[in-house]
Amino acid sequence: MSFHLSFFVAHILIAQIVVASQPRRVIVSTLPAVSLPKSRPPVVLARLIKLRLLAVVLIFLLGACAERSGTRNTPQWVAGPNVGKLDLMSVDLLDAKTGWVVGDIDPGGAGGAIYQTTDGCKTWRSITHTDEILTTIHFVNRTTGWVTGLAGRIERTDDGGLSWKVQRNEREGEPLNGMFFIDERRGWVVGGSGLVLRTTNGGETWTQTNTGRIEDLWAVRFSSSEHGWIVGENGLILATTDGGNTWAPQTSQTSRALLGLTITPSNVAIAVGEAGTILRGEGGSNWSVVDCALTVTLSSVAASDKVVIAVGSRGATLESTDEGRSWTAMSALLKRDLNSIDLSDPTHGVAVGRGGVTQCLQ
Amino acid sequence: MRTLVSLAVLSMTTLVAIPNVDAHHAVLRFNLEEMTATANRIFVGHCTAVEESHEMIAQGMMPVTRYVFEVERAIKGQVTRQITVEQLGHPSHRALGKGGEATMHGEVVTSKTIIHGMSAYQVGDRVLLFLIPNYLGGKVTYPVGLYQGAFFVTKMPSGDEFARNTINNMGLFTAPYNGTSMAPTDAKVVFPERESPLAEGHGLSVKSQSLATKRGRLPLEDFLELIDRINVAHGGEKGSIVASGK
Repeated sequence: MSFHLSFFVAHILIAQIVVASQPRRVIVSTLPAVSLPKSRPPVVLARLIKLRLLAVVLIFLLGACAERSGTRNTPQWVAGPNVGKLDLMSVDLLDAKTGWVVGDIDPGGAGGAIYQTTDGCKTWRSITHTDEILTTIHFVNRTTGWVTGLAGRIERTDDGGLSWKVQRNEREGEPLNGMFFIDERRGWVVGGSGLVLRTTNGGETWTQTNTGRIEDLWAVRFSSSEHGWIVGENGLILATTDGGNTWAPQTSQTSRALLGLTITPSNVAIAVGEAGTILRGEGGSNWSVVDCALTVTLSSVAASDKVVIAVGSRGATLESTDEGRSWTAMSALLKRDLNSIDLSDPTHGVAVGRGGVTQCLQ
Repeated sequence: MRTLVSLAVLSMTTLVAIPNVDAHHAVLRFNLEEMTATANRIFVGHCTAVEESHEMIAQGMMPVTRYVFEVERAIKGQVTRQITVEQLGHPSHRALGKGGEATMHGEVVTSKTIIHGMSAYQVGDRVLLFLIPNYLGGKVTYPVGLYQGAFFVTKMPSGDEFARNTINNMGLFTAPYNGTSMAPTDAKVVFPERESPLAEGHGLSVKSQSLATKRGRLPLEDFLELIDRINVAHGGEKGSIVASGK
């Protein structure tokens, strides 16, 4: 609310300044009518302009990346139901109603589960038991999806998650951290110590790509079957233009770990990470740091149209409506760490995190 | 003693035959403070020998694996320069049988030979181990929380060293106290439910303080400093390398 008010006041002030400095110009504006002075002495006018300019600057500074109590008029973030008590590591939405989450296993001996919602985050039900800590889940359609595990396992489902077939067995010391499929055949997985895997046959076989990197890799995204990016430890960004055959490092301007990555429909890449790091790269290159004065770790980011939302430690939730140029921090609904977010459209999303918490955009 | 028995029971109850032998099965999750308090020996060393055999333990022949470590640094408790760590069970060798089962020496792994979740090491592996006091007549031990208390150390070309267990250090600062060796009220350094899980003070450097916000592998030196401070906070025996075993 205060955010919208800030912009409203700012716009009025700008309008006033324009009018005051060019009194005969006709203003075409949709803003509410403002009572304007008809004539002023030059010195008073100059002082007024100076003061109002200062006010505008201050209002913009406070508005950008400032915490606000509400969100966009619609939709709103609301606390969702707890999905078990275990840490949730990944969420994937197919549409506004359907999505899946995965995460830790139960130390009490019940193992873990893959959960599904079919009512837009209102309720979640366990659809499959799992005996591995699952780090990511990704569906390309209503039936076909994959999960990855901390021990290096990859599994595929072709019935919406009810049954899973192991495609890659466990490998000691190969935690898998991120996964992306662009269609039913082509997918990429990244993990610890520079591990990059690639499949071109839906996961039947996985080929390890030698990137020459040793950093932990945390997220991978592709904007087409050829163009993709990976982010990881020490501010590492890798890019490919040949479908993942070869990867080249890009300059990231940070040494902080980058944990989350998304590509907007207009091909703007946005990476988030430790200490509130947000990077933005037009066309997936020329990365620049978006200064947001945050210190919490941002774990995940998702985009839909021009809306981009990042989540992280202590329930941190940041929103951008201009493809990551400016961000607004929202009051945390939950004080628990949020590990993953996905948006099905600009008005529907789910974030999940520690202790089974869910947060729903609806 | 009761704790040791429960730990032993915990390990024995993980004797299960499941095809995915390297998966992370359900064991109690330990945060770093409880892990440190539970271990009676914490050290960094590299594995120099592995030997699989069967031994008469608890009135029965049990599969055991003996690992010899050359100790570089002791963080808690007294350890010999060369320490032999004997664990129940045999490690799986990742080979697969006709049915896709894990095999060992050409035979399908069964509940008789493998302890699920037990950490395994190969010659040359450099590790940071948190070992529970020996049990079953003082013959065998295992890392606290099985795979959780075994951190593999890697060295970067830059010389930087990192440590991680096979669950990517998950829960070290966020897992609630499980009551194995201490109650939440006994916590001194790690407070999983707090906004900043690491308590201030205790002589922690800024780098060690920042570990709680990191994901994945952790810088070894900062990690060791933190473990040392936790140990000191609990009045644990300072680590030392001695001429002969205690």
